[in-house]
Amino acid sequence: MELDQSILLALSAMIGSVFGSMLGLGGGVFIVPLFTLWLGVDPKVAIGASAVCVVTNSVVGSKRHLDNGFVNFRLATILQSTTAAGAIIGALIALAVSANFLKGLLGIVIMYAAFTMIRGSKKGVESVPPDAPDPMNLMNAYEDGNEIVRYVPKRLDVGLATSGFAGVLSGMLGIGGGLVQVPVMNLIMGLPMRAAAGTSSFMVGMTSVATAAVFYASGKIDPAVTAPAMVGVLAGSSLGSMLTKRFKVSHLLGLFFVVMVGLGISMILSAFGKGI
Amino acid sequence: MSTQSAPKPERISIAPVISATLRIYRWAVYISFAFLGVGFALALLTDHEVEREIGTPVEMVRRALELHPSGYFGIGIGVMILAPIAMLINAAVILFRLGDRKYARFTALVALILSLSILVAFLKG
Repeated sequence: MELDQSILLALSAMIGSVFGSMLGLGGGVFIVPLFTLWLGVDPKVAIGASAVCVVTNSVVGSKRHLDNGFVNFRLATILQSTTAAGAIIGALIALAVSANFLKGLLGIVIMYAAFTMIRGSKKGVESVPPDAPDPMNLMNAYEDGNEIVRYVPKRLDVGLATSGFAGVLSGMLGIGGGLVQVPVMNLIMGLPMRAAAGTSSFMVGMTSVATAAVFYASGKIDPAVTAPAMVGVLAGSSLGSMLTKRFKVSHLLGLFFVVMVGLGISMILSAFGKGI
Repeated sequence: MSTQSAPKPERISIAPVISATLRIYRWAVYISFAFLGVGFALALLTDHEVEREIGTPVEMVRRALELHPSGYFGIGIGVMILAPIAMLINAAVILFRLGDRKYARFTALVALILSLSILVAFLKG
């Protein structure tokens, strides 16, 4: 195990985790490109390491969301049934296709994330009364300042289908899947943004367990890459939360947009054997 | 035709599930990073080369007993991967005890899917 390589891996994972934490995307979107483009790690090994990092990030970061009541536990378990199955399918696809295909696909997903982020589409959700119809017993509430925000998730069918798709993407690319799940939960299922982000952040840890298991079975979890990355994620997750409190993330969106588009283009070019 | 809705069943609080989840996740972080820490210390202090694969659970324990860093890294990574499954199994048991049978079954189903993926991985790995 080379010390300088381990430090670089931990540093890259930390940078990915800080960015992911500040943008609410999770670190996986940044970790795989940084590992493959900057450090020359095999893309499938990078995806395996990223899946373990997503689990770490979720296990460490869920405390804040659970403490504040942002996680809708019942909804998470329902949606997780299709997400977990999707992640297993996605991971099996990832092991069957070429590394360049995965690089190209990840490049497209990063560009999509960048444009979604800059567009900033989110819907305000009105609080419902305590006796609102709730056939699936999914009503949840949390405190926001002095008021209680209460909501009942809708369109569970759409949620289950998109969660399955998010699981496939997560399994293929080692990302959390929040990129797909958060907008769907907010815009279609009617969850307030905080509840959508909190529930998704809690779910991605479980999703990535399935991904990590498939990559482990294929010998693609490399301890020399994964262990330093986990340490980087642990540090980055805390640092990201601290920086989010200090800086207004909306002021940095332009910078993040440029970084993400740059990474996306680099991944797509790398898929065609061209580097920047 | 009556428009009166059926009386709403009493809602079961899942606060015990949340506190148990927080406890399991906290201990998973402590245990996992303790093993990783020992692994890093051994990697720095000994001349063992870190393996490029985690290996089977038996190999992890054997390497750990031989004070090989790969064994400690493998166990640390394994503990982290198993944390969400332990949380789900525990949550299913608590929900069942609280009488929330429907969500106990959903939680158990997800735990089963993830446990099977891990089991197959261990058997193949």
